[in-house]
Amino acid sequence: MSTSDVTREGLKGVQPGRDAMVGVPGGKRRRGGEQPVVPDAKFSSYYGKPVINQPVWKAPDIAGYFYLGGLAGASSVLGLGAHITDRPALAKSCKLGALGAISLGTVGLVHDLPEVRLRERDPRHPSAGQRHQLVHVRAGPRDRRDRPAARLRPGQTPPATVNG
Amino acid sequence: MTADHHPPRMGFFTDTSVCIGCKACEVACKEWNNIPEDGLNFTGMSYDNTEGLGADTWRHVAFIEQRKPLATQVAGAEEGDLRWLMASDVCKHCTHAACLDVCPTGALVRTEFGTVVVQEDVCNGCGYCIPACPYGVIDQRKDDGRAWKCTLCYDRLQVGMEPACAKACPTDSIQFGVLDELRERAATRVEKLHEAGVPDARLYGHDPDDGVGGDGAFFLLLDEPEVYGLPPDPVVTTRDLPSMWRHVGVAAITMAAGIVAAFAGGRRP
Repeated sequence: MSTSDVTREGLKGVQPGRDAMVGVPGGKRRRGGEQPVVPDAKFSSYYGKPVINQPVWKAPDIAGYFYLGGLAGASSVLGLGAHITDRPALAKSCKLGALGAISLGTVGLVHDLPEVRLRERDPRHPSAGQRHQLVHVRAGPRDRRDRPAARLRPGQTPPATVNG
Repeated sequence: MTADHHPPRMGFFTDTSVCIGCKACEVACKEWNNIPEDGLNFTGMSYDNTEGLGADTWRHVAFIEQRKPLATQVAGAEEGDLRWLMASDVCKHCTHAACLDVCPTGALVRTEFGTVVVQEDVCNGCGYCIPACPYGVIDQRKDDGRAWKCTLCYDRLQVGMEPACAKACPTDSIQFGVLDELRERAATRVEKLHEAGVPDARLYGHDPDDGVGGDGAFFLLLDEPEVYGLPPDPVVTTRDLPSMWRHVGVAAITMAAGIVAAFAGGRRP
């Protein structure tokens, strides 16, 4: 066995020059006898700040809305089954339960909105005919002539294409 | 005017290699768009006192201090020398914009310039768009409840002016123009930097084949995107919607089958 430090892979225990990292001290790196081929993975971030913003939903409202929505759906299907199989007492309680759950769920959904009122039914408005007619109304006086963007209908295909 | 006659897609090319961190873009943006003050804080994050993009910060200048000399740009730089990275971040105006996809009110629209804008009088503050944004750009204004973000100065664009931040930038780090032209200019710039001995220079968000279909506002960075607080491989979050609906479908079918089984197998009272 050779005692020389020189091997086919270069000097023993020394990283070859081509693997040298900028700003990392060179020299011997012995860890359990195995030479890592790539540098250690390093996680970097901008001062530890998360990349994605946190949801702003109030947890009891939205989680409750989902739970009650599921409850209402299941109850109404059970109620239908009871109705078809002629179980009037079960059908009644299921239907009432579904109605109660969907009503309470709606309250949760609306309560989560910052400040809401039922929108005046303006057929020219971009959200006319949309499912959600609940809007925030704290903005000051509105002048629609100042807002050409409002003339774009939701769901309209983007006028500008990907590559111009 | 038909749908075929629209202006070309406009965007930003933010070349961070010439950014000097003056924050003129932040100030110009706040002034022009009348954005409320949101705290003058000492964050301890170098010269950054706005922390990140949000409802009241539509341009954010990131400051990064590194023990890493700027390659051959600085003659005689030694290991351990400090280098500064400064980058002005902004809404990316994605080709496939998740915020736009999830908005239930139609408050978020695509303009004729290919930009993504929130109509503040339509937004009801439901907050769907906020976790949908893969870059963490759009956010809720706390005292108001609605979602706000960069409009790429839609009002200025409509009268043929450039956005306030690009106008204010003294080094032309923020360049505004037709997106295709900006992409060409950026490719030339990054080549030049590589020739000048800055191998770390790279473009970010310029590729129309990436997870968001390319950004309307893209960047030239001098380090990994993570260092600047940018996701390395952003994906339009609505990509997973079909899979989610399939799971919902499976759950609903399972429940329906259970109910049918209960009635079919149940004894009459």
